[in-house]
Amino acid sequence: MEKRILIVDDEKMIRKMMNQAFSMEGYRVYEAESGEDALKLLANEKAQVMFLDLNLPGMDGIELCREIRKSFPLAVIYALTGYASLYELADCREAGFDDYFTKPASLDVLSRASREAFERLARWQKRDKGLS
Amino acid sequence: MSGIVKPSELTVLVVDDDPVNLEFLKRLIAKTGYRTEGVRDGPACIEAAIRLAPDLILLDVYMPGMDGLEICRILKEDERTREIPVIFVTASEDKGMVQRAFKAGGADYVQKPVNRIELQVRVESVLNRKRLLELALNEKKLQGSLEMAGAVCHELNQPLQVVLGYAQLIRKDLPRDELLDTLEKIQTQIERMGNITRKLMSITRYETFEYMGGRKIVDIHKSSNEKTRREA
Repeated sequence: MEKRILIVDDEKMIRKMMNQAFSMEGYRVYEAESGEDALKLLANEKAQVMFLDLNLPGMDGIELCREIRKSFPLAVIYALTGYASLYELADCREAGFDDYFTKPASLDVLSRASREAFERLARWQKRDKGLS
Repeated sequence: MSGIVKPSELTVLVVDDDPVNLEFLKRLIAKTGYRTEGVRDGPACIEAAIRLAPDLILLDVYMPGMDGLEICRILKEDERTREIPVIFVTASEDKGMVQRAFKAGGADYVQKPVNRIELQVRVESVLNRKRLLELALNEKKLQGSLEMAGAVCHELNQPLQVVLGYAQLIRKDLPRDELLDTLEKIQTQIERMGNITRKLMSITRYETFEYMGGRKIVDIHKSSNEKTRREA
């Protein structure tokens, strides 16, 4: 299974930097600059792990996560935020985020998070196969 | 400022040209526990108001030279003394005088002969009003600080994320041209942060926009430096 990561951030430089970092680790990386773009992209492509910026123009990261969860209940979705209160972090949990990271987040932390996410997904798949 | 302030922590400046009246008013005020200071004319009042920053001024209207109304107008024009509430002491039954006293910026007035209880109640009520205003102002200032802090986080964490990420990527073995390209990206982001802090420091008037969760933060791109705006 090809490991695919989606990065949603309205800031181009952040997308490019994360794309480079994850590509170097062998992941296939998709980028979207808004929630609307991300949903369009996900209609055709599949990503197992996603990093969503919370403060997006138009649909915000929390709404986007709720939308994605409807079609991808098993995806591992992380929030990446520049400025969030406890109140919003509670909203994140409720919207279905698996975890959150505050900017600036270390690439070591983000890559560990994606590694663990894929390990978790692999365990789920094994279980699925075992059941069938 | 905390909600509860002891009277002994508050100073009332009493202004009356008549030494007997001055002493009498000072005693009435002191009985309630406030600290008092007394002066006998306008220039002394203005000087003491600046030097002592009293919490309240009890000001006789009829005085030779500068009268109470004029003194009050001067106090209200000076930003160092503008916020000090003034209670006028007047012998006049004239309703026009009462109107002029409020127009000059007075917070309240008492009539001679001064009744002890009435004076104390009015002083207390004016001081309470001032305290509430200060609390509201502090709340507004705090709100402003939070809006500014939000903008700083929002604006700086983006370039910081880019810089941190690229700085970490450099540790991996990048070819020389990619390395130089990455360093240039880092430099661009550092310059961007410099521009943001310069902008933040020059803001004299700001606009906010609604961030997530209905919180407002300063919009540094729409906020401006009044000086440059006037020049523009």
